[in-house]
Amino acid sequence: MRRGDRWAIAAIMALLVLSFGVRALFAYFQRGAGMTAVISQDGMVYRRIDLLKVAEPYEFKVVARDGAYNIIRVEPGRIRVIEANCPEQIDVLQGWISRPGQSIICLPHRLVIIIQGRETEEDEEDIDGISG
Amino acid sequence: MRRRALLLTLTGAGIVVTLVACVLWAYWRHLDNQVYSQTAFLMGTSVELRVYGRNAQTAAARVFDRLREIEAKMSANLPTSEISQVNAAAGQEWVRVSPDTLVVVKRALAYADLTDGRFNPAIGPLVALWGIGTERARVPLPAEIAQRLPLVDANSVLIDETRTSVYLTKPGMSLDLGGIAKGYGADEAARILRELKVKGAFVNLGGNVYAVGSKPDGTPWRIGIQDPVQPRGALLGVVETGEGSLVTSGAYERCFVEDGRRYHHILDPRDGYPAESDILSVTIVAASSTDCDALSTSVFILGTEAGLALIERLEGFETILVTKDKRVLVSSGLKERLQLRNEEYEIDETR
Repeated sequence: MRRGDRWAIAAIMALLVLSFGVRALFAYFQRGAGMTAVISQDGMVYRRIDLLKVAEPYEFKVVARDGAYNIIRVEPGRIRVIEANCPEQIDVLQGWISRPGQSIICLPHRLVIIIQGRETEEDEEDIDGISG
Repeated sequence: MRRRALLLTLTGAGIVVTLVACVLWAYWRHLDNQVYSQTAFLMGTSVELRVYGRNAQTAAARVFDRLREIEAKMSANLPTSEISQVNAAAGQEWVRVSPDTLVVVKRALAYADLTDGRFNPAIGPLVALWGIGTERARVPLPAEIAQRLPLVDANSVLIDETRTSVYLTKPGMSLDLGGIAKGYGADEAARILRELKVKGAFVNLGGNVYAVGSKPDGTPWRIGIQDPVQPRGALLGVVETGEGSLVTSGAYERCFVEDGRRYHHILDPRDGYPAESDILSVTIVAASSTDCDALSTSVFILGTEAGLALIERLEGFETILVTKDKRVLVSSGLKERLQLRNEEYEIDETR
C-alpha cells in the first residue's frame, strides 16, 4: 500500500509539473499578442515600437541618404508618416495605420513601417495584403 | 498489494506518456503555424513576403535569392543585366541570355501580338525619355517622342530559341520588362514555395499578389484592391481567393504633375504618351502572375471595350475593371468573391 501511494503521489506530481509546463509552453507560443510597429530603412530595422505601450504622442525623423527624410508620429495604438520630402507623398497621404499586418511604404526612401502582432478575433476586416 | 502498485505505476506512466505526447504535439503544431514576414526593395518595388509553416524562414530566404537573381538578369536599370546587354547591342549583334530572360521576352512578345502592340516590351526608349518614377521625370518635347516611336517596335525584337539569344535589329532600341518581370518573379516565388511544401504563403511584389496554399486557420486569402482615387491603403473592395495570382494596374501608381497635369507611368506605345484610358484600374485574377501582369497593363491601354473583348477571348482569367465614371465591371467568376468597400462605386450588372 505504501509503495503504491508513493507512486500515486509521484504520478500526481508529474501531472502537476507537466500541466504547468504545457501552460507555460502555450503562453510562450502565444507571446507577441501586443502590437509592434517595426520601422525599417533600406532593409535595416531602425526602431521597434510597442504601440500598446505608448503613453504620450511623439514624433521622430528617419533620415536616409541625400537628405531624404520621413517624419513619423506615434500615438497610443497607431502610427503614421506626417511629413516627408518624397515626390508623391504616398506615405503621408495614407494616414494612420493601427492593425497588425498593415503597413506604410515609402518606395523612394526605402522606408517600411509594418505593424506586427497577433490578429485578434474581432479583426474580421483583416486582409492579407493590398494589390494596386 | 503488488498488483495494485503495478496498476498505479502503469496508470502514472500512462498519464506521463500522454502528457509528453501532448507537449510534443503542441510544439509540432506550433512549428507548423510559424509565420515569417519580410519586406525588401527589389525589382524597383517593395516586395512583401509572408510564409507559414515550419520551414518558413528558409523558404523566404530562397524566394528572395531567386528574386534578386531575376532582377540581376532583367532589370533595365542595372548596366550588367542581360537586358541591358541586349539593349547595348541593339543594331549590332545577338546577345546570349539565360532561359529565364528568354521565357519572359517571349511571353512579352506574345502579348505584343495579342494586343496589336499596345503591350510592348520594346518600350524602353520612351520609358527612359519620360523617366517616370525617377527624379528626372518630365514631359518630353513632341519631337523627342516622334524620334523614338519608330524604335518601339516589337517586330524588331528577334529571338533565337536554340541559341537562347535576343537581338534588337535597330540601333537605339531597348527592352523594358517592367510590365511583366514582376509577374514572373511572383510566379517563381510561388513555384519555390510550393516545391518547399510550405503550408501557405502570401507574396506581394508591388501589387502583383500570389497566394500559395492556405492560411493556418483554413480561411480563404483576403486581398484588398486599392481604391484608384483614394490615398494608398484605402480599399475599393476585398476579394476572397484560394491559390493563385491577382494583379492590379492603374494610372495612380506612379505619376508626376507638370503644369497642373498628371502624367502616369503606363505609356501607350502608339503615340508615346501616358495611355488615355477610360479605365482607372484593372485587376486580373489567374493562375499565372506573368499573364496577370502583362494583361493588366494591356487591358488598361486597350480601354474598357477592347480590353474586355481580349479577356473574353482568353481562358482562365477573371477581371475587376473600374472605369472613370466609377462603374465597376466584374467578370462572372468573381462576382461572388468581391465585396465592395466604397459606396461611391457600383457594380455594373449589365455586363
